[in-house]
Amino acid sequence: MSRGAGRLAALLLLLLAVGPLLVPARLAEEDREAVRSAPTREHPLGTDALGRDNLYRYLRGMRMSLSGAGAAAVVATGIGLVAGFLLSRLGRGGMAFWGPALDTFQSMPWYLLVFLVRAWTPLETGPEQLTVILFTMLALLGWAPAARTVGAACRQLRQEPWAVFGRASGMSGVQMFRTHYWPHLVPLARVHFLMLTPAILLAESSLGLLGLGVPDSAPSLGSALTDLLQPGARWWEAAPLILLLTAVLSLQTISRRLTDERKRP
Amino acid sequence: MRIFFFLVLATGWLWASEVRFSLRSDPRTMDPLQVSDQASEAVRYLTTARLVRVHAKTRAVEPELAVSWKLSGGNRVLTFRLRPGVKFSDGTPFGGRDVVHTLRALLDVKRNLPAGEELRTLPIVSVESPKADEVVVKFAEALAAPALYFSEIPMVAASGGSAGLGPFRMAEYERGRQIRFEKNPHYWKGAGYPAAAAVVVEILPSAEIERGAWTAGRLDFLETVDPAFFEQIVGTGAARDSGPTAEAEVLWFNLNENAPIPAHKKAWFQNREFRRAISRLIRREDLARIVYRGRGTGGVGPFLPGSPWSLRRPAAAAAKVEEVVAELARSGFRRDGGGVMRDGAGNAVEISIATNASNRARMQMLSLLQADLGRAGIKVTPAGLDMPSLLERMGGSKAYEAIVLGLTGVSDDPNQQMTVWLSSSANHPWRPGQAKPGTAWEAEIDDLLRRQLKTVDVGKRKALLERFQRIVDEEAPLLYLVHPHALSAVLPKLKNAAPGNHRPRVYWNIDQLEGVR
Repeated sequence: MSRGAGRLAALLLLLLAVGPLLVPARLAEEDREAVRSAPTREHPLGTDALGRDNLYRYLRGMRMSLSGAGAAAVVATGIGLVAGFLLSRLGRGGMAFWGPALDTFQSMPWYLLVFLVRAWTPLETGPEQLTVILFTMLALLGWAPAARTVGAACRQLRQEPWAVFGRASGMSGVQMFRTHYWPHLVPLARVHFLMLTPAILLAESSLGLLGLGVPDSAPSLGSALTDLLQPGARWWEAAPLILLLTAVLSLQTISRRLTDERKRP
Repeated sequence: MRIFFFLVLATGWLWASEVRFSLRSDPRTMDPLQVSDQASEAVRYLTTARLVRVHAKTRAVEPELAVSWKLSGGNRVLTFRLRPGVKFSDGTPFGGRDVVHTLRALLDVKRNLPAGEELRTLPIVSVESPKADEVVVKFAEALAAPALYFSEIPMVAASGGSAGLGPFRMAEYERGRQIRFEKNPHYWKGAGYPAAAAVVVEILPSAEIERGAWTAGRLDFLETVDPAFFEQIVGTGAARDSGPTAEAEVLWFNLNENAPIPAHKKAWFQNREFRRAISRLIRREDLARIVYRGRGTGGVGPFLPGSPWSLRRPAAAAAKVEEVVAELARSGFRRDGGGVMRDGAGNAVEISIATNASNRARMQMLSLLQADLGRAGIKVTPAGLDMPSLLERMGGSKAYEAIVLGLTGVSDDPNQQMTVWLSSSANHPWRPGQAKPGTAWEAEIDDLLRRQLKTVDVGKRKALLERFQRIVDEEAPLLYLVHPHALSAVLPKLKNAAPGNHRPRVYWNIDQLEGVR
C-alpha cells in the first residue's frame, strides 16, 4: 500500500511538473462558441462554462494547489519547529499558559479571517498576489500542531542521557541543537509537512467552494471543484475531485508510513 | 407493513392541501411596517392585506380591502371606499380608523418605517376617515396614478396586536426550521379562500438544500432557480420561464467625489465618453447566452421593450473595437505599442470590478467582461467579496472602482424606479444620498421623474420618460448588462400556479394555491 502511495505521489509530482506543458496554453482562453462542450479530441475533458479547456485548467489547478499547499506547509512546519523548540525551553509554568493558548489558537474559526483579509485587500490586487496571500495565511494558521509535537519531542530529548552528557560536557545551545536535536527533529518535521500539505489543500478547496479561494483566473483544484457542484455536472468534471482525493490520500499514506517508521524501535 | 402504509396514508392526509415552500433565512421582524428583508416580506405577504394590489400578470391595479377608489379635486384627492364587513384574523372589525392609523404611522418622518419609504415620496397633506368605510388622502399637488403607491402598504390594526387581514395567520414558528401558517377564518374573500388549509415555509439556508428538498417533493415550488438547474428540469413539466424581468444585472462606476481612489481614475469614470465606450465594448448577447444559458435578455435599460414606457429598442450590440478605440481617442486615450490602453497622462487603463463572490453568475460575467474590455487593451481585475464587505465599500467607505450587482425589487412601473434614479436616494448606486444633484443630467433626471409622477396625460408622461431613457443612454451611469428571466420550479400537482415575472413570482396568488399530497 505504501509503495503504491509513493508511486501515486511520484506520478502527481510528475504531472505537477510537466502536465501543464502537455496542453497548449491557448486552450486557457475563452472559446465562447464551445461552452460546456463534451470531451473532444481537442478538449479531452471538455470545456467549462466559459469555454475554457478543462484538462488545461485541472492540470494548472493541480500545480497551483499542490505547490501552494506544499510551500505553505514548509513555512508552517518551519514556524512550528522554531516555536516548538522555544516552547520546550519554557518551564512547567510557561507550558501551563502556552499549551492551552495553542489549543485555543487551533480551535478559532479562522476562516472568518480569510473573509476579513479579502475585504481589506485592495480590489486591484491581481490573482497571483491573492493566491500568495491566501497560502501565506494558511501557512500562518497551520503551525500550531507542529509546535506542540516538536515542543513535546524536544522536552523528551532534553532528558535523554546523551543530551545530559552533552550539556555537562559544555556544548552550547546551538551546538546541542545542530548536533543532537536537529537529526531527531527532521523526521518529525517531514511527517508534519506531509500531514499539513493535504490539510492546506483541503482548506484551499473549501474556500474555493465559497468563492473565496484562489481566484478563477488563476485556476486551482478548489475553483475547478465548483463546476462539480453545479446542477447537471458531467462525469468528466469529477476529475479535479479525483485529483484532490488522490493527492490527499497518497500524502496521508506516506506520512502514516513515516510515522510508523519513527515509532519502530 | 400494514402499519407502515397506514402511517404513510395518515401523513398524506395531514399534509392534504398544504402549500410548502422555502425561505433562505428567518424573518427579521414580524411587524409588517418594519419589514426590510425578503423573508419578512414573504411573511407579511401571507398575513396581511392591502387597500389595492397590482395583478402580477396584467399589472392592473385591483381592489382588495378597498372596493373602489377615485381621484377628484384636480387629481389632488384620492378617496378609497372600503369593503364592508372585513375583519382581522382575531375577529375584530376593520375600518377607516385602521387605514388612517397605518398611513399616519408610515408617513411619520421621525419613525421612518421601512414600509413607508415610497409613500413618503408623495406630497401627502392629510389622511382622514370621514366615514367608517371611507378614507380620504389629500395631496399638495396633482398626481397621475397615486393608488399604485398603496398596493404595497399592509394594513395593521389601530388597536395594536398581531392580527392581520391576509389569507393566513402564523400558527407555529420554529426558528431556523420552519414557520407554519393556518387559514385565517375571517379572510375577507370569504368561503373557499384561501384554498389551502395551511402554508408551511421551511427555512433552508442555501440553493442546494432548497433544490434537494424540492426534488424530494418536500416543497411545492422554488420561487427562483438558476439557469443551470432550470436546464435540468426542462421537460419535466415543472420548469416555468416567465420571461425577462425589469430586474437587471448592472455595472456602474464610482462617481463619488470623495471616493478613496486615484484622481486619474475618478476622471475616467466621470467622463461620459469613457463610460459609453465601456458599454459599447460589452457583448451583452454573450452574457445572456453563456452565463444565463439563453434564459436572459441583453440589458436595454430601465424599461423592457414590452413596457408601455420603453423606447422599444433592442439591447445594444457590441461595437467594433476599432470604433471604440477611435471614440476613446477623442478623450485622449491611446493604445501603446503593446496594445495597452493609456490615458492622456500615460496611465494604463486598469479597472477593478467588484461583486459578491458567492454569486457564480456574476463572477462569470466578470470573466467575460475582462475579455470584452481586454480587446481594447483595458485591463479588468475581477474582485469577488463577501456581500457585507461589498455593501460596506458601496455605501460606507466608497473604496471601489466599479461594481456589478443586480437591481432587484424594481418593476416596469416608473414610480418604483425612483428609489434608484433620484439623486437624493440612498439607493442611487453610483453616488447615493446627494444633498443636491451633482451633475446637470442628474438634476434633469430628478426633474423628469418628479414631473412624470404628477403628469396625468399618458402621452406627456411617456414623453418625459422617453427623455429620461435617452439621458440614461447618453450618460451611461448604469450599464444594463442582462435582464435575467424569471425562472421558477413548480411541481405540476400544485393547483392554480401561474408564475409571473414580478416578485413574488409563484406565490403572488397564495390564496388560490393548493398543494395536493
